[in-house]
Amino acid sequence: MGNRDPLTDPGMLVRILSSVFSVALLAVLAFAVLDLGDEPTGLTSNVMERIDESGVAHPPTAVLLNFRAYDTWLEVAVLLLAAWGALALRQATRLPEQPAARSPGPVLDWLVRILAPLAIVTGVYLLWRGTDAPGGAFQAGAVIGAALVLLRLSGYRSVGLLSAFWLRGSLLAGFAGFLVVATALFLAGWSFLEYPPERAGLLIVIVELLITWTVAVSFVALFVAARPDPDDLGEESGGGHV
Amino acid sequence: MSLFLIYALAATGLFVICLHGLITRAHLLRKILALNMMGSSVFLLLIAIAWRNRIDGVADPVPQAMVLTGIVVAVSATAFALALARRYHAETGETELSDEDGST
Repeated sequence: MGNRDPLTDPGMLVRILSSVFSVALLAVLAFAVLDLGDEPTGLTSNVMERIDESGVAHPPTAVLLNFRAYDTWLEVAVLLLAAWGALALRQATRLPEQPAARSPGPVLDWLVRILAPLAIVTGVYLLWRGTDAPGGAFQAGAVIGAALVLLRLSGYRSVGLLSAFWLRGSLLAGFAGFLVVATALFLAGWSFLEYPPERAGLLIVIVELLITWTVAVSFVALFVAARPDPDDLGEESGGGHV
Repeated sequence: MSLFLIYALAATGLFVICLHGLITRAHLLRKILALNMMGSSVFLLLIAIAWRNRIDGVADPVPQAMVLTGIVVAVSATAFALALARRYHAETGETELSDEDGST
C-alpha cells in the first residue's frame, strides 16, 4: 500500500479506473431512472382484473404462484442448486448430526423451548395467511428455517435426524411438487403451469406447503454447510454420527 | 422531486457504491457483502416501482413477487458463496483470491 503512484501501483490504478467507471455508470443509471418518470405503467390493473381466476386473494401471492409460476418454480431450482452445492462442498449427503452439546445455560434452554414451537406455529400461520394477506411460502419457510437453526445452535436435534434420502427429498420437494402439478395439469389439457381456476386455490396451497418445507430445510442445510466447525468437515456419506 | 425518484436514485447510488466495492476490495467477505448489497439495491428499486404503479392503494404485485423470489435467491446465493469462501480459506489459508490469475 506504500506506493501511491498509479503508474506503478496496480491496486491504485484499479481504484481510479473503477471510480471513473462507477461515476459513469451512476450517470447512465440515474438518467434511466429519471426517464422512468412518475407515471404508473405497471401490470397492476391486469393482475386485479384476473385475480378472481387465480385461486388466492392476495395479489403478490397470485403473481408468485399462478400468473408467474415459472419464475417461482425456477427460483426454487436455484435454492435446490445452492443447497446441493453447499452440501457437495463438504462431501456430505446428510446434515451432520448435532453433537450432544450441553445446554449453554438455563435461560437459552428455556427461551428456545418456548420460541421454537412459537416460530413454527408463526410460520404455518404466515403460510395460511398468504392467500389473502402478506405472507406465503417463502416467509413461512424463512421463519421455520430460523426456528430449526435456533434448535440446532442450542443443541437440540431437529433436521440433523433426516436420513440422506429424506434430506434429498426435502430439498427436492418444492421443485418436484411444482413439476408434478404442472405436468399433471399439462396432461389434463391445460398449458404448462396453468391452473384450472376452480381448483387453483387447493393446488396453490399444496405447492406452497412443499415450498415452505424446502425453503426451511435448504436454509438449515446452507447454514450448516457454511459453518466453521471443523468436526463437521469430512463427514462421510451415510454416516450420520459425529 | 417525487418520492419514487428519491428511492430510485438512492437505489442506483447504492448499486454503484457496491459495484465499486466489489471491484476494489480484495477480501472475499467484502466482495460477497458487496454482491449481496447490489441485490438489495435492485430490490429497493423494484419496491419503489411497485409503489409508483399502485392503483387505489394496491401496489403493483409483479415487482413485489420478483423481490420475494429475489430475496430467497440472494440469500441462498450468498450462503453458497460463503460456503465456497470458507472452503477456499480451509484449502489455502487465504482470504483473498491470488493475483496470479489476474484477479483482485
